[in-house]
Amino acid sequence: MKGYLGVDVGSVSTKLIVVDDNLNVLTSIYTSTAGRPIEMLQQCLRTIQPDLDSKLEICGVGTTGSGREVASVIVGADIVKNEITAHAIAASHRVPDVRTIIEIGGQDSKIIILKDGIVTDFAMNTVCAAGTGSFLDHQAARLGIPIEDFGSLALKCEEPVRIAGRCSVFAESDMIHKQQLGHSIESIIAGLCEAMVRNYLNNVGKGKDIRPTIVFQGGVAANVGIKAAFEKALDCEIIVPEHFGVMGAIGVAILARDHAKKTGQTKFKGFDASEFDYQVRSFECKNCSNLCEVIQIYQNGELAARWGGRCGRWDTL
Amino acid sequence: MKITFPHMGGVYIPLRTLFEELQMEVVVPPFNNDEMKSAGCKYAPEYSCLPFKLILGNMLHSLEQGADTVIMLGGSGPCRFGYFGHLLDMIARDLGYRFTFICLEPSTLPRDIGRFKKAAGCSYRAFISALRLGWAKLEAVDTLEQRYWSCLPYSHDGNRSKSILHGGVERITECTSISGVKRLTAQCLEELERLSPRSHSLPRVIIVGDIYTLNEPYSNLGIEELLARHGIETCRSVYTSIWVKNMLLPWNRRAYYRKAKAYTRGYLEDCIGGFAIDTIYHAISFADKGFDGIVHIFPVTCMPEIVSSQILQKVSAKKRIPIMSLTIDEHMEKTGMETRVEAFAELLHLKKTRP
Repeated sequence: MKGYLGVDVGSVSTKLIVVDDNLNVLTSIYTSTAGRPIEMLQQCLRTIQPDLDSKLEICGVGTTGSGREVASVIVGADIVKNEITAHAIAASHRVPDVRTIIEIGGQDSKIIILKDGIVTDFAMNTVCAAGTGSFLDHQAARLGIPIEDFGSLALKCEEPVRIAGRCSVFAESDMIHKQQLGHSIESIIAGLCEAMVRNYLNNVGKGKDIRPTIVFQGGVAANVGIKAAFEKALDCEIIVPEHFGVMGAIGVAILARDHAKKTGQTKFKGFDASEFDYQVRSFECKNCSNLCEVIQIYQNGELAARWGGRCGRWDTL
Repeated sequence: MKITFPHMGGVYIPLRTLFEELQMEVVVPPFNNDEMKSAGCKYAPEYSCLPFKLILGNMLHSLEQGADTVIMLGGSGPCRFGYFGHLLDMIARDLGYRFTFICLEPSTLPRDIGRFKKAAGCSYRAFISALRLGWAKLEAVDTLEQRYWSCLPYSHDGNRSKSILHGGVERITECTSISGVKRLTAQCLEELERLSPRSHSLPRVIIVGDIYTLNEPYSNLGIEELLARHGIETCRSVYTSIWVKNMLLPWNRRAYYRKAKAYTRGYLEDCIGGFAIDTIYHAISFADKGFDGIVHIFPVTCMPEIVSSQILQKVSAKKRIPIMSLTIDEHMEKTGMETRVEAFAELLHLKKTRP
């Protein structure tokens, strides 16, 4: 039996998924990157291996997310793809008539506009991460509410209060102020969800042609409060796909399958990759005034990959 | 007299030539890098733009190296650039540096040149001939860069193309005659073309934004190179030499803005400072020329470009041309940039094959 591995190493979470030939999800994992991308990735490999049929053979691997380069060295990837394309591919596979993808992850939020399954426009947040998963996490922790309950609490409220959602620090002081005025936790949380959606639509979604069918994915899609706030703001139904949290990984798994079908081979290092010892070292190249930061990855003490130089000097190992 | 000036792409080449021809000692700051950025960020106001921070970093470095005269372009447009020179002067003085500051303002240009000439102690004749050589070099370097980015995605050997460009720029920098500059330019252009036969057609992108971000590769995180790596041919909306040519003489300037306003009618009716009207004008004119995409790149807190980024959405919808907007500041990481560029390049390639 054939399987394809998709890996999405984001700044906040690491996602792994294995699909079969028909792109059914065999197993998936979603954990915190916890600032240690390599270790977490190896741990994920160890965790998913027992879930898989011993006869399953991994015939293709794809990586995405901000840590896609590092991840590709560790697992041995056939496809390394940006997360925008990966999300678009996964969404249009799961919901073929999708026109708009709203994706909110830990530190990124993006909007992708498609026509006939092809990306025609996209935007991603720059310089500001207000209105992303990390922001919600932070506020939930401050209110002492588990992030899992956050959305359902928001749904309990009829009259959300208005929260300043531009900057996470000011949102926090605004929330404290509203608490002091005696508003209920539910109405404050609902207000926060609306503020986040407002912020998203005014920032990332500004000027974009948002049309149904709309798919909402990324970790924050677990939050039913945000989903409801989007439905209210856009006045239409929002689809949250079954595997909303790992859609990027599904996207590259699909690409890996297509690649494997074409070439019939894979660079996958096997689940043993979780046993190797990896070290990342970087240095500042002083050969010219560019002062490039060159990053080197050592596998069991041997140089396995290197990137970061602007000239060709460091291209070959 | 040890003179210095801030970097902006290739402008150090003509400036160095100009001052050296006039027998002045020149301190050229190192090319922009993280060190320059940190030095600038340390003393610049937090909400000033990245170009200002880099320029400040350049200037402080040169003053530290013993420069005693700083020359800088001023400007009385509504963009904050008009204040840059004076602010630089004040910050450096507060830090204890003592130097002569020459800020070239369009309104007082003849007087400023007079002051400069007096300080340099040269004749008008020598000044004009140095200026002409410098000008020839600026045009040559811009022409080479322009051709390089349009050829590179087609090149058989990217590293070879790169060394042709760098070698060419280096030889032009050292060249002492206008005819030599012209000969070298023609030679490099021919070599670049020979290496890049256009057997198929790749997507073409116009990069619009402010002059500094477009022409200083460090401040745009090498956007042209990233796009070229993904098989995209690029062109800048503003090249320094072309801009100077359009702005210096009143009749050129009037003709340029007349044309720009004809294009931007219905989008932006007047100049609002900075390069806003240039951005809109070139986005529209290149879309009409059949370019496949627009990349808009500008520093955070840049007022004119924030306005134009909203108007560009309308251009994109009306002209049915994809656009990607990138805001840059000192915290921007290359990883985030690569993600966006890769996705945009894919979009353009797909659109080209399946229109």
